[in-house]
Amino acid sequence: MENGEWFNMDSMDGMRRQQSNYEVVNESRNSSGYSLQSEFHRESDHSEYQVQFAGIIEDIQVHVDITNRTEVLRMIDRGKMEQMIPLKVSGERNTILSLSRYNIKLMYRDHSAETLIIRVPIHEIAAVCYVNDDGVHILAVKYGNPERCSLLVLYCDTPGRAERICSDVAQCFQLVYTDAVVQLLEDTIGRVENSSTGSPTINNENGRKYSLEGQDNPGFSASQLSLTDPRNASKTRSRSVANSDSGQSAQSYQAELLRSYLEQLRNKFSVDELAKFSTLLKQINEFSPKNPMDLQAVFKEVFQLYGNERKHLLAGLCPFIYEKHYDKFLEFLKKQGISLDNGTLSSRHSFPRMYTRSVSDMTTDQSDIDSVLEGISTQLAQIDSNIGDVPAYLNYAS
Amino acid sequence: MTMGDSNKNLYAKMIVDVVLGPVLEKLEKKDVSAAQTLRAAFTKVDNTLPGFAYDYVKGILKKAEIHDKFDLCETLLQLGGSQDCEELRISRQEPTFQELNKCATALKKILSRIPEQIYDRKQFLETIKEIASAIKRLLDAVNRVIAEVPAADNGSKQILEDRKKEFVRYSKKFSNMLKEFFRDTNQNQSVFISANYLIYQTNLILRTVKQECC
Repeated sequence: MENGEWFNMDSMDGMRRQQSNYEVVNESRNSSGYSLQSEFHRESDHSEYQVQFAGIIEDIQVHVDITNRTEVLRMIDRGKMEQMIPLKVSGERNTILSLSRYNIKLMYRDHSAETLIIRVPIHEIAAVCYVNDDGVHILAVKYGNPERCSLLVLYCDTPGRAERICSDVAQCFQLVYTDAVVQLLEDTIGRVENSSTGSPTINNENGRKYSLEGQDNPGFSASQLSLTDPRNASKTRSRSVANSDSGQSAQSYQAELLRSYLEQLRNKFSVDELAKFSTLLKQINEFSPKNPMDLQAVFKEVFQLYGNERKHLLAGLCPFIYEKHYDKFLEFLKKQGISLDNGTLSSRHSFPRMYTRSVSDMTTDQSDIDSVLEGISTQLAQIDSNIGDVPAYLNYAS
Repeated sequence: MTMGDSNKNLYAKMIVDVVLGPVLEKLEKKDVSAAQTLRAAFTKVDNTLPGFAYDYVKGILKKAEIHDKFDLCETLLQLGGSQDCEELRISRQEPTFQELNKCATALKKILSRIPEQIYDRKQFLETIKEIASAIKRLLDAVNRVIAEVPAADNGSKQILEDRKKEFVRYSKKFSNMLKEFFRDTNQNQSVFISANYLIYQTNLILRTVKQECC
């Protein structure tokens, strides 16, 4: 592995792959060690590997670095003590790990029957790690979401197989990341195209136009992929990209949703009200109340701002509320007798809630949505100050 | 590979912008009259016989026996970001127009790096992210210029809007070529061609703004 060469096919026990495809990949490998033509680039491509399933260790902390050997072994030891994984794996059942660009799938295969153990989408995988513990070849897969991570523990018969799995997972990470980057470019072009036909603007009383579009932000914030050289393929760390199977990034959907909602408000709110709205929304989402009642006070202010005639629009705010305040907001809406779309407590247009960050979103960089809100807040504040003290102006004018 | 007519015309126009233009600018310092006459002549001939500039330069390269030593498409792309001539610079000093100059130069520079980075996946993906950002900044700058055009001058506004739409069209083509490339890495030439088109479209925006606003 150290010299970056591919593994010898003969060592790939239990691997099923077409010989010709493997050789094509081998020849096209570039100097940085990455295959230019991935084995997984077609939707139907997948590889299978024989492994032993040890178990799943729950409640792994998000910040735990599983590329650290000591950490991994510590977690596995805890798993054994808490009986989440057995002390020894019998290996009686034929366990297959199936890898494609979309997910890893673990299943028992007995004769012609397959039993699914677990399926983990690629974008939910935080890292994959291989540890050789006194001749036991452990493959650990950390996956999950911001609140909770789990560790899938597998054993491999040979180090070659474990390293090959790591390397192939890295390829899949690369594909997901590539798709997301191209999607980012498409989304950016789509946004600027729409801006030419008129972005949401508001007119202040001086007749100047201000755009509600956010500040310059490429919209690809926290999710970064660290692609390791296959020469170190025993440690593959990834941060997933929020990329649904429909192919459009979650962040761009969210930004579009916010703009669409703001367009609604623009038609119904005055400039002052929009400025207040922006401030209150930021307060809700930055809130770290010492007293939970303070959050309720902000909700009340929002409700008063919307008033009886516009309170039906409050339901549309749901997608833009931070996860930790979401339940409280819903409770508040219920108390005010505000019904939600489709009678469910879900987001508009069946879109997942905003700010449900994946385990990969672990930096403090602003998301595209945060920057849109920040931009709105700033621009509305500017309008506010430009309008100035209207009564004073009226007095002066008269 | 036989070059399509549209690609040949593109190369001819790029050659005028990034090869002949800078050379004639240097000549202007020695003999203004000769440089201006040559410039006018090339423009006139290329308008009458599209692709002439390409045939002309190809002829010179053949004479120098270096025509097969490099890929013209790649080279024009690399030159597209490094060569800038007065003809493509907006002279108005207001921040809006200077910002447009800056954004156009920045986008062309990033596009011109594609040939050296396309084979390094990680670096290339970072470049694509930069391209996305640069395209947005350029079109935001164009929007600001359009906003500065007097309300009475609807004709100029419309011309600039049309130019912008054309640019967006070629941006989409570029993005599609990237998708094709990531499915089949032999499609690198298509990426170079579409990037060249994008540089050319950027130059067209600059020319149009000069024509309508300066």
